[in-house]
Amino acid sequence: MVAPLFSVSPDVAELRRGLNVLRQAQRLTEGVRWAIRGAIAGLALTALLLALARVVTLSTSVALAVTPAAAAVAALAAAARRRSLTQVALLADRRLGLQERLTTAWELAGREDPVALAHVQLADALARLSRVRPFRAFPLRLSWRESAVMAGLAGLVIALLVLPNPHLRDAQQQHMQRQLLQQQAQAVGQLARQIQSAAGNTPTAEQKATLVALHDLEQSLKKGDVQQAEQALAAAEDQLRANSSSTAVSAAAALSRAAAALTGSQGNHSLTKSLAQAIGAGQYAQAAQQLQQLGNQALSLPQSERDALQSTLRNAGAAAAKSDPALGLALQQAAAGLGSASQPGDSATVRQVFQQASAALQQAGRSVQSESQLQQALSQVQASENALGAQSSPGATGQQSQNSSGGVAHQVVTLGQGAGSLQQPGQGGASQQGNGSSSSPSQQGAQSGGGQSNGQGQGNGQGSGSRSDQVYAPKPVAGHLEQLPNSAQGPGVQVAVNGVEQQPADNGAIVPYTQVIAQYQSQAVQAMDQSHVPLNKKDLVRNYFSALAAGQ
Amino acid sequence: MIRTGVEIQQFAETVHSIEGEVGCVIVGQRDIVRNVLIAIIAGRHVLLEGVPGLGKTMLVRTLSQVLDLQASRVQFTPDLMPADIIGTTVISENAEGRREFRFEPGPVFANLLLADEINRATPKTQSALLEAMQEKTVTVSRSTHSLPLPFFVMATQNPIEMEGTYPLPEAQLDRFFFKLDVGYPSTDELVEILSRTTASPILPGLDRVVDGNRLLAMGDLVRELPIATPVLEYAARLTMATHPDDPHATKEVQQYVQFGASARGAQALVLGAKIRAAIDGRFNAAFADVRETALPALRHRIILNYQAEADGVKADTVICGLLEKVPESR
Repeated sequence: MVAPLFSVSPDVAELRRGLNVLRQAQRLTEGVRWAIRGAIAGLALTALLLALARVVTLSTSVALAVTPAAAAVAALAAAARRRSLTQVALLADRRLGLQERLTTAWELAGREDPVALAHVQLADALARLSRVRPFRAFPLRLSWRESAVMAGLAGLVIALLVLPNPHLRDAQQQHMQRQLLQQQAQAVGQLARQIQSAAGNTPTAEQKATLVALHDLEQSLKKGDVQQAEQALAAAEDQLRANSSSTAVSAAAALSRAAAALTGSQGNHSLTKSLAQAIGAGQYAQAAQQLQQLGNQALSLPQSERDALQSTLRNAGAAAAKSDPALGLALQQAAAGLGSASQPGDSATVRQVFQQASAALQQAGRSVQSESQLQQALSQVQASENALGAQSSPGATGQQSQNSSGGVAHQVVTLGQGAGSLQQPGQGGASQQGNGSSSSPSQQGAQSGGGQSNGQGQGNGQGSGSRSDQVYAPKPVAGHLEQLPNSAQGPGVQVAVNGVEQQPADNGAIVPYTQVIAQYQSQAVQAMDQSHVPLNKKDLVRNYFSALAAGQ
Repeated sequence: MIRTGVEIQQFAETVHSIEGEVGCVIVGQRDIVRNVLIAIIAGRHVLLEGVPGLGKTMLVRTLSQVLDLQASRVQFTPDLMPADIIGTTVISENAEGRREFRFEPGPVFANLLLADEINRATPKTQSALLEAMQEKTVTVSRSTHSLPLPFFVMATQNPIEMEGTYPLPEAQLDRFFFKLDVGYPSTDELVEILSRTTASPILPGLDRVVDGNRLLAMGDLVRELPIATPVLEYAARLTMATHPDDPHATKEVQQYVQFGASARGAQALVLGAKIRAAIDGRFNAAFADVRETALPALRHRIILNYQAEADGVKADTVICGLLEKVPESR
């Protein structure tokens, strides 16, 4: 009878089972212990990252994620480390004070030629092993030192999280500023495209200058540098102001007067009506064309209508001459030409004078349109300046929308041309969109209420700015208000005419500045005190009110 | 041959019985008694070092009685000759009246030889013990004579009064399984000694627990005691760490040790550990057994340099440092 090999005896199998159980307990314990160590290392790294986040830009969430990640990696690494049963036996012997019984037994179990006392030793080891609880050999214990270190590091991390982080605040502000700059660049670009589209293939010199200024500004804003952007905005504003022409205001007034005269004429010729409507709607090219057609048809009109037309044109010329002598003269010459024409051969002369009037009308219209676009651009630049300044100021993060909306809504210089020619993209949703169809007086919301239009199709401003009491950028100081005669369609036009202030409207929408200047100045001072006004604009605001005070 | 657990139990009981009997005469010195017994079971020799009057000779005499061994005692002096120890050839008449050379055995022909103050003899005489201790034979006039088994040498030496002494050479020191430092008894032990030795001149009667054959069998049994490889490796690392050029050597070893322990030192460590485990009733040797054996097994095998002597560093200090620094498992 052959004795079974020692290594395949039931005792050896039982020893292997027991050691495997111990190994599982050891792996679990090791995993937990290394997870704690990993967590400690992770907490230390997190604290370091949070401290670094006060100097350089680092994500807090990434720093916080380091701790569980380190703990998980350490636990997995520890669990993945599979110890041999010999090592487990050694560890268990040491932990339980078994005096190398398990180690010796496991080694003897692997031998094919056991020593004399092998069976006895194995039996002794098994007897001890049967009384061993795995987690007594490998207990899940946390040392006081590790606990203290972990608690200290956790406290440090919490402190770093709770204490204000100036760098993070600055970084957020810079991010928002960059975002704002991109938005402003987008708005400027959109406005430039609109102007380009409106100008068509033959833009005027003023339009070209405006487009160049806007394109340059857009490029500067896209770079995302706040300082550069401020400089570019200031430069663009200066350039646009330099390009601004006072003749456009005169031309607008002249056109408005002419349109009023044409509308209020005694004649009932459809062409004069549509001519007045086209001028009122800002469709100057169409108006010029209609005036030319009127010259072609004038001699074929009955004498009474010719007389009425002549009278209407004369009145319109007289009205327009108050603001734009060239246009007024052209219209009066057209009226004179019509009156002097009695022979069929005079038609060429009539056509010529009407053509000249048409050209003058078109020229005035283009001047008005260019100026209107320039004013839009200027408004956009100011809105961008205000938005940027509002965000740069301390505590402005939560007020961005309010300030920016307020900044845009203050647009004042509208030339009353309506017909959708005014659109002011801006922050905070403040925009003015003319629909061109309404004949009712326009009362723009918020602070855009200063912009009104008469005639047909005036701008229906829908500014949604909620902070109408804040003024950030001054209106043109040199300009004064001129109250135009009321027309049938509206309460009047608020225009700036150099040096002469006309009577204010009597509908309550416009009051002399002397009555409101004190309130506005108080609000401006308050706004400056609350740092709502950028530092570089404070002098501008002070100068503005100083200039107004000097005028008083 | 299959051994049973009962044999180990009997072994442990026997040793405890011997210790009990010796304890009737020798007060205290339990470690000394235990280590002497370990060396005897291992079939090796012991060097006892201590000042006079600590019971060294009494211990040997007691052991010889308890172990039922033939004991002899040699007082080493400078004029002691080798023949005085191993014996000599004399001319004598036989029964037929013819003269012939006859070997007259010396005191070495005993089971237990007490070499008292061995460092007082000349090196020539000391070396006469070399063959007896290692080979357990003596050669006189080209005749080799076997010593009776078991054969143990228990040598003593006095650490003081070094003038006129001949320190044992390293080779001979290495022959000793253990070197035991016999220290002073504690106050309580001294009181007990006084009460025993000043009341009655008659020593208590001692039982003979084992004879020589039983001791030899016990020695064979403990050699079969298993020892795990990590424990063997620990003993080897510990021994190697006594060498100044070993990577595990401590700073003390590098600074104070001239030569480290030999392979005999490692053998003494392992065999001593096995016997300790058996005395403890265990069936395998453990790291703790090796650690407990380290001092008596290694202290006389480490040769310190002059700097150690100048700094007052003892071998025990170096070994204790090693026990702290050398890891049990790699």
